[in-house]
Amino acid sequence: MTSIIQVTDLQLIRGNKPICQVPALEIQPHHKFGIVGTNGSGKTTLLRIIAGLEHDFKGTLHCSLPQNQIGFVHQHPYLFKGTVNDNVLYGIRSMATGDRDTLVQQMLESFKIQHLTNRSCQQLSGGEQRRVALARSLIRQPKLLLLDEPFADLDDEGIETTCNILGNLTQTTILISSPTTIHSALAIDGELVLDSIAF
Amino acid sequence: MEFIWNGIVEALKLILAGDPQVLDAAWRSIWISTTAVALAAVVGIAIGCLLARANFRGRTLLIILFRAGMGIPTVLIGLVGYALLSRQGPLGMLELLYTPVGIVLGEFALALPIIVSLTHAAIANLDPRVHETAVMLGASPWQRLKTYLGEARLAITLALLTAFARCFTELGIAIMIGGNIKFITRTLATATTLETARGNLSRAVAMSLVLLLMAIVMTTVISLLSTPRSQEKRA
Repeated sequence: MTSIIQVTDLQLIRGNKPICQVPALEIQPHHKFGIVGTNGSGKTTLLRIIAGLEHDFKGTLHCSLPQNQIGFVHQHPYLFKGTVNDNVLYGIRSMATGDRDTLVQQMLESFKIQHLTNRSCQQLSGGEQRRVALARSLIRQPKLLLLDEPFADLDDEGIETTCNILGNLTQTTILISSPTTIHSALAIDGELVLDSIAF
Repeated sequence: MEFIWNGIVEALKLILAGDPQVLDAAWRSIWISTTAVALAAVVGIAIGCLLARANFRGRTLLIILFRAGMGIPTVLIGLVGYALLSRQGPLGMLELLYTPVGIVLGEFALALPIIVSLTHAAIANLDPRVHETAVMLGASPWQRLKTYLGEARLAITLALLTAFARCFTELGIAIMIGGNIKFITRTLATATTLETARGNLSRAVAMSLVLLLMAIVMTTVISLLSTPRSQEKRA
């Protein structure tokens, strides 16, 4: 099977300080892949590099997908000013009105946040914001999903709902989380452990 | 002090009676400032966004020049405008000297650096996640621009109000380019100056009371918009 992500000797240095080092990494299509590691080990940076948000790295990164087929949810997601509906709709505005409204409703229902449709995003709790950000990214059906700490701020119900949704996804998913959450909540196909970088 | 009090009483009588000179100057001040700020908004917001999001040679110099332009004295704009629009000037054939349109052009030059600089600051200081989120959600360059403007709308509204306040109360441009011609180019600020010089204190006070009222309204709107509480409600 042709890998969707292939990394060799990847290194990102900022001000003489290496902030991410990955000797080798290969991720197959449709796999769920976990990245774990201590604080400052470069987990988020690696995800950002794969997403195409960091360019000044050394080494090689081969990603078989263009950026518009990659979904990325920040560790602290940013929700645009407006309602939950406006945000979830953002990435599918080019679709026909009826289709996209149905899709938004289905997505909000799957995350059990349909009651928040017309709520201003600034009035949401941290967990609700995270679920809206996930729904907003997933509604575009990206072929590769990058999730930075998707379970942070979520209560037990939120973790269960999110795990059910992520578990049923067929697209390649790379997520950063604590080892406990990754192993207990999701059936992952592979894992990368990053150590804190000594310099 | 008595003559000031009498001036205020007389001024209120003039305003309440709908004095044609006061109303004419007030209406002209409003439409000239509004037109100048509207035109400067179209050009200034576009330039501000460009300076904030694009990298090109001379960008930093342009940012510095526009920032310096925020403090440019109105008499200097008036003087340059006069030189350009006078019969001997390069734009003399347009015959815009001593016309309201001429004042609009001068106030456009006054408002533009304010709108460019404040829009640039608003867009450049947006959370970096705004751009990243828009990119990762497949936004086109046009959709990204609309997103930046939407996220910075409060700061841009404040920029427009600040520019309007500066144009509405300015004197140098209206005097030098407009010439303070009764019922043609006379604004509240130029009328106040003229009536004071003539010793017609009640009319001068009436003009300045309208100016003051407008300034209070604008300051109140700016204060209300800039409080964190209103930001939350509007978000």
